[in-house]
Amino acid sequence: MNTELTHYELTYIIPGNVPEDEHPKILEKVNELLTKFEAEVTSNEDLGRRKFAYPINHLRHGFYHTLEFDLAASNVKKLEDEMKLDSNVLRFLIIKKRLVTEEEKKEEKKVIEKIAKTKIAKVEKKEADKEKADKQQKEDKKKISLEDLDKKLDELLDEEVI
Amino acid sequence: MNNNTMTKQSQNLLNKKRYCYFCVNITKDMDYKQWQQLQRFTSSYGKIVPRRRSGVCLKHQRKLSKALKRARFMALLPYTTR
Repeated sequence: MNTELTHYELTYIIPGNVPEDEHPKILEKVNELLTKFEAEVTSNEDLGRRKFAYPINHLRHGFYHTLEFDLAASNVKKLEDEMKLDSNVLRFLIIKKRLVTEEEKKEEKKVIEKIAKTKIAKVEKKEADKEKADKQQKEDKKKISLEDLDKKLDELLDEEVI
Repeated sequence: MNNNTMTKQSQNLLNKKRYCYFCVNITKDMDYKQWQQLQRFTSSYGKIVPRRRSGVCLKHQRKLSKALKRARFMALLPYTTR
C-alpha cells in the first residue's frame, strides 16, 4: 500500500505534579506510540516547565514537549485516540505543518537579516535627524534668548514698576 | 475645545499609514508556541484585537486568530482575565 506522508507537529503537556524521574518513561511511551503508527520523527524538543495561563485540573504548571514527524493521514485519528488514553499526558495538540526545506530556511534567514538591517538603518537615520533637529532648535533658542531676553526683561520690569 | 481636540486626534489616527506587522516581517507560518509575539495582538482582557485596530491584513489575521486559539488551548495564553 502506497500512502503519502503528511508533516505534523505534536505538542503535549506532562502534568507538573509528576516527578521528573518519571518523565523518560512517558517520553518513551509517546515515542513507542509514534513508532507503532510508523511515524518518521524529524525533530524532538523539550520546551521545559511552564506556568499555565489558567489552571487545568487544578494544576498550575506543566512540562511542554514538541515533536515533528511525518505520518500517514489515515493514522492521525488512531494516534489521537491512543494519546487520549494516556493519563500522564494532560493535553496534546496535533497540527499540520508546512515542511520547510533547508533552502527555504536559508532564504528566510536572509530575508529576516535584510529586514533587521533596514530597521537598524531606519533607527539610525531617525536618531541622526533628531540630533540635527535638536541642534537647530538649540541654536534657534540661543539666538532668541540672547536678543529677546533683554527686551522681555525690560518689559517685565516696567510692568512691575507701574 | 475638548471636542475639537478629539476630532483632530481621530483624524490623525485615520491619516496614519497603516501596515500589516506580519507583511512587513514576511511571516509565512504563524507558530502558536511563540505566544509572546502573538500576545501583542490581544487586548488587556485577552481578547483578539480586531483588524481595524491592529492594521493586520486579512490573510494574516486568519492565521493569527487560529494561532491564538491554539495557544489558548495549550494554556499558553488566557481565554479571559479577571
